[in-house]
Amino acid sequence: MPRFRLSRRSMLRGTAGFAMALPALEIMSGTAHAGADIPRRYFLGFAGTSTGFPTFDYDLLKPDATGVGYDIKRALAPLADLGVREEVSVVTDLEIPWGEEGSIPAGGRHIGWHAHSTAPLISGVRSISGSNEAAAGATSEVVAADALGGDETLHRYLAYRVQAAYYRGSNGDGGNRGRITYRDEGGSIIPIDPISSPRLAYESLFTGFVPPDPAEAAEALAALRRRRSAVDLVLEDAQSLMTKLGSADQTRMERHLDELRDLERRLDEVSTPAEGACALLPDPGEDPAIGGTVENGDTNGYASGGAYSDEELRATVMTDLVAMAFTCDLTRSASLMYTMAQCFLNANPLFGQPSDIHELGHYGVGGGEVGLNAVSDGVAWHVGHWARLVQKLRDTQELDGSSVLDHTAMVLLFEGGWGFDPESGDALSVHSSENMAVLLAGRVGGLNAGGGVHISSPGSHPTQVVNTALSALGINHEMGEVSGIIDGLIG
Amino acid sequence: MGVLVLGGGPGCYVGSSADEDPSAGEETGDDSGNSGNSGGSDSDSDSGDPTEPPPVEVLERVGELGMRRLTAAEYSATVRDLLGVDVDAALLLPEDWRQPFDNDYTTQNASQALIDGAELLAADVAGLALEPGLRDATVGCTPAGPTDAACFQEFLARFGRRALRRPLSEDDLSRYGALISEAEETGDFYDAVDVAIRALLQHPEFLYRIEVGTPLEGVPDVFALNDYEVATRLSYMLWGSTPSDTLLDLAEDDGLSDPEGIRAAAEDMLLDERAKARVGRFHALWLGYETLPHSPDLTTAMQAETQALIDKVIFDDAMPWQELLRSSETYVDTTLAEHYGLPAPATPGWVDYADSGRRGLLSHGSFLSAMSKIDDSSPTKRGILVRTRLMCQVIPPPPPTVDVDMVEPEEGTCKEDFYVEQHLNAPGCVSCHALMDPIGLGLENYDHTGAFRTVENDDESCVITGQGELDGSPFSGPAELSELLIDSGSLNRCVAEQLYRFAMGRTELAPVDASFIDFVVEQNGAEGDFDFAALVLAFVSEDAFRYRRNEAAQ
Repeated sequence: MPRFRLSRRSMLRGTAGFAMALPALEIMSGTAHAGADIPRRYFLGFAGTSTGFPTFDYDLLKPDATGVGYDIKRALAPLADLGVREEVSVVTDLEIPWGEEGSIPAGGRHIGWHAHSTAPLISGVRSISGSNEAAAGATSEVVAADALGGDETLHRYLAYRVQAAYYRGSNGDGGNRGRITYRDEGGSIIPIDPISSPRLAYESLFTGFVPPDPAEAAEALAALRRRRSAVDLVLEDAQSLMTKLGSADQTRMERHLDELRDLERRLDEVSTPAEGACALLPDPGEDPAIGGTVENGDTNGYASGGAYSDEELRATVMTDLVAMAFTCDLTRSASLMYTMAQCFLNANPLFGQPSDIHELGHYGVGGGEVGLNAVSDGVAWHVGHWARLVQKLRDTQELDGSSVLDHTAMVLLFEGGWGFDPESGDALSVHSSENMAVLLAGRVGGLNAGGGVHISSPGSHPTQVVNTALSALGINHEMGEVSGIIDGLIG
Repeated sequence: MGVLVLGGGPGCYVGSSADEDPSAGEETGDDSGNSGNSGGSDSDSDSGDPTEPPPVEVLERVGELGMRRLTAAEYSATVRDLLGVDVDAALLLPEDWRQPFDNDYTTQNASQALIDGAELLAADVAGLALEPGLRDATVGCTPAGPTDAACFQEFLARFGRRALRRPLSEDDLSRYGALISEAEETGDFYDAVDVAIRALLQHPEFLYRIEVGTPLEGVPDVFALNDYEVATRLSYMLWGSTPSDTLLDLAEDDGLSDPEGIRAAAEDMLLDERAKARVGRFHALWLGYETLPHSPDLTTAMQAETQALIDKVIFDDAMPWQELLRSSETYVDTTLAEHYGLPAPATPGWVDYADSGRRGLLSHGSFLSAMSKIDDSSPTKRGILVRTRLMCQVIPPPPPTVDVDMVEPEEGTCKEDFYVEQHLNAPGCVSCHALMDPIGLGLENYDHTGAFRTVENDDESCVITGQGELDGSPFSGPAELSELLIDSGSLNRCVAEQLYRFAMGRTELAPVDASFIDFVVEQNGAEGDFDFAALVLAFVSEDAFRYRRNEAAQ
């Protein structure tokens, strides 16, 4: 028979004094978090775009002024609109080194552009080769999950993706361009598929939650029992298969079993959302349909809504889910890939440009300042959703009155910057890992203690900002081959 | 299979892709982890004792194969055939990576996204299958009461066999039968059925195609498939879906234990409409038109055009596969006829190409839309498409000093001139581009939507010559290119190679795979016209089809 037990999370959720349906939970109301007990959280966002525009020797992301109270240009406009500048630091003039096959430097990328900056950016380990875009090291949300008590939360980490499909060639061509999560399994680096369905993300996140209404709770518990019965049987079946398989398939099945066991564990974690900030979010309903492919330059295709699956809604839902996951301590580490590397997402529904974001980065609309503005709007779209999460976490109170953001470090990475392109030899290209920028939010460990700052750190590696975030979280880890943090970010 | 080196200068190697990785075919002999238990189930009648191996020449054609997760398309088709419900599994399962086929198991990794997606899908399917209109058909018996264990067992035995593609063992039936407690608890028989469906649709033997087989005496790394495993191989290869009851019955009666039985079953399966869809999907993934970057009307019309030709040539008229490239008529609706400049039929139907210069599939908008670039065709990419997909040759990626996004003609430059000057007359470029661009330039009279044109993008100063070349032979247009490809003698093997990739779910091939392909091609005719259905039948009735080789340890 299914077993139900109260996890530490149930205890924490119960502490807010929600009017609980389950008698066993009623006894838990009234205990507040002590400050030292409040978990720390880590969030990684990724934008599959460069920040500059061809021929321009500046972008509209980098503030003119350094230090606190930095000025905000077009690409960072959401920081002002949402009132979160004081919670966000901007690190600019970063660079990922490059090299040809066989001479790629530590933490560097293959000289070919698409999409070779992503792997060193997210893992800190140099590109594998010119034909392999996968990361060669574990990524930071996995590292953080291990260090922040991922085994104590319902979800070790969340790996979500907003962009529903690749939108170029045959959908499904994205492959490693649609992933930013990798884990180290005994020296083998395994890519982790993100959840890209808001509906699945919702159902998965709130596994085990039951509503407070007694009748609804009984129904929910019965449904959970049935789910658990099914999974129990499947686990037995999977285990019995193991001895019949060859070693390669045993490895695959073991991975499947690990994930099944994790689902089983989550189905055990019955709890009721606590009163206050932790709450069961409204069901987002069915997923928006997945849009079709559009080729470069097909303005009609973009104008008629191709290459789009309502990513605006998807980003909003997933942001809400991450915020609530942190608030309810359902996880302490999450990544959200807003767009895939070489982002072919339609910009038209987002900010009125009948093109994809990748194409805008090359040709803009009309070129010149208009093009730079369009590219910056694309950057701003990513910044806006990331900043909304900053805002939500800042405005969500822990039980001791502090904000969730006080215990959180958040990073936003961009696939590229602008500057020299070693492929073409162009001095001012968007196929460049020069002049890269990273945003860092949160107040854990002294981050942004005196308000958000702009720091120019020429030649530093963008993944050093990730190191800085991990350091602020108290995690003694440096990403792959990238060592050191960015000075001046931890107050 | 020898290495074929064409034209190119230093650094541009072109060879058969099946030979490209010299280490890929090393036989490891790894059998660790195999218990010697045969078959995919405890209930299978195979003893598990080693069986006599086939002749050495057959063993040398047995390829490696690992467990393969159902693709989203296969999942949807499977639950439709099992229960009559329609779900879009692509919304909830991790996306299948096309390269170009969507079923390469080496790209699949279990993840929370898969496990949770499969659980949610199973719940969706169970809910739909137990809606009033489908419930009786799903269960197959009428319960006398909420705890009618006999009806529940009857359902389990019938549905379980179909879902897991093998009979449930007594142990399976006992364990799953205990789910009747769900009905006892709620007083609703169908709650137990609901849980059983959910469990079976999350079962690894449902989500994956797992072949265990029977060990062979003295050959530790090769296993003989049991009949149910053969049935499953057949059904997913020919239908992209689960075996029918008829096929499972055949497996139960040992009807798939020899090439003759398999051939007979496959002949029957090719008569099913699902075979048409599957063969169409094979071609669509292979040639890159599964999705098209056009308006819904035009996309639908183009895909219908190509599917109609495949149906007609391969199934309805049983003509040689080469007729796909030679056909002098095509299936269009008004939208597509106008797009091509052909006479529009009153209702969708066949029209004669007449002297339009078009012939066969290479004239279709579906094919001509593939690998287009920046609001126009790309002669280079079209050349790559022909070389890699239709001739099964390998073209290395561009050198790192080439920025493929930025290589476009400058304003006022005719594209054809640009390609000649920048690619074909440039010492550092010509060695590789000579293999690609001349093919694409011969198709330039057809834009990236397949529409005919005489000048580039309405620029009267850039008149398109439409003159191309394939390995020294000049051509102009799809019809002449098709003839050159047919005459090249490479199509027969290349089609078989692509079919092998699709059937085995593995893109990277090893020499042992090449042995299988060569043998089948030899049986079916290495040169001249061939029948695609005959190729399929030769494939599935080749002795090595009934075996699998363990993968090398990872």
